[in-house]
Amino acid sequence: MRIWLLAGLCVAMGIVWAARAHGDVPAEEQLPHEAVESGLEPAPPSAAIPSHVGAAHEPNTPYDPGPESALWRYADLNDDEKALVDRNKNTDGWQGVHDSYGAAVREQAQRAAALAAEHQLGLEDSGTVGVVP
Amino acid sequence: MRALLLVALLVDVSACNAAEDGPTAPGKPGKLVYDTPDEWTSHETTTRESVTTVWTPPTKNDAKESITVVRARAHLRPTDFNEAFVAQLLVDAQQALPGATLTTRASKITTPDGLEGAQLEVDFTPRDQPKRYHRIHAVLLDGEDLVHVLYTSATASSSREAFTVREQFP
Repeated sequence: MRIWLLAGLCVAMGIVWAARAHGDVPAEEQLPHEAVESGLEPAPPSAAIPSHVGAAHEPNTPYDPGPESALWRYADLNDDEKALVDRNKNTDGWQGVHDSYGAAVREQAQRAAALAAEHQLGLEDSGTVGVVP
Repeated sequence: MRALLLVALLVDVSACNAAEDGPTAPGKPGKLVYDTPDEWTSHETTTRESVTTVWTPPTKNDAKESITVVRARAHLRPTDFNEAFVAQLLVDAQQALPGATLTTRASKITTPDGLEGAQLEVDFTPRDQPKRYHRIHAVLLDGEDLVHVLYTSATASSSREAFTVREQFP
């Protein structure tokens, strides 16, 4: 019985020793070894990273496409380039659809502003209140 | 003319309440007290932030007239609680009416008791109604609340008398 108890104690001490020995390795000794093993190139110096990389983007705002001279506008493209952008689809009538969507958006925005004004004035559904059918 | 009487009394009592009772508690618009026009009947609706009373003639309302009085808590910043800003909101709010067409610009009004506000007139077509309606909408700043007075009718001819408070009751 005592032998089994001593054997168990030895095993436990061995486990504790092995764990401590692995954790005692200094970080500076581990990192170069792991970097070499991974095959990755070292990170570039911070000065080489553009300022916009990693910068937080404000929600609900458009991304900065860069300077004006770098922009490619649809109107500046020739017919072949426009066809490529339009994926060779027949674009006849598209402008009317775009205009309709634009008008609908403006109408909804105006209605939203009106409802907001109603709310600020403490009114609700003023289009039906006081209307005698 | 009865409409004229109602509006005048509303403004007077509203001013008295503001002077005697002070600002009302947040979320509890003050109770609106005013005399009623002869024979007209009312229907009152109360919510957490507003008290709405609609007055209509009991019978023979060919002009489909009504007067609606709303005392409501404004959702405005203190710096925006002024006559000019409220007048702009009043104009903007009319766009919520179906087919709204402003027939007058917003004008400043001042009651004999010194309450300031704005007023305008608008034509619109209520939902499910074939006819155009005419409305005069006045809003007064009273303490922390706004008092709306809306005269709505299917004809524009008889409505103008209802909102000549400042001239009729100097």
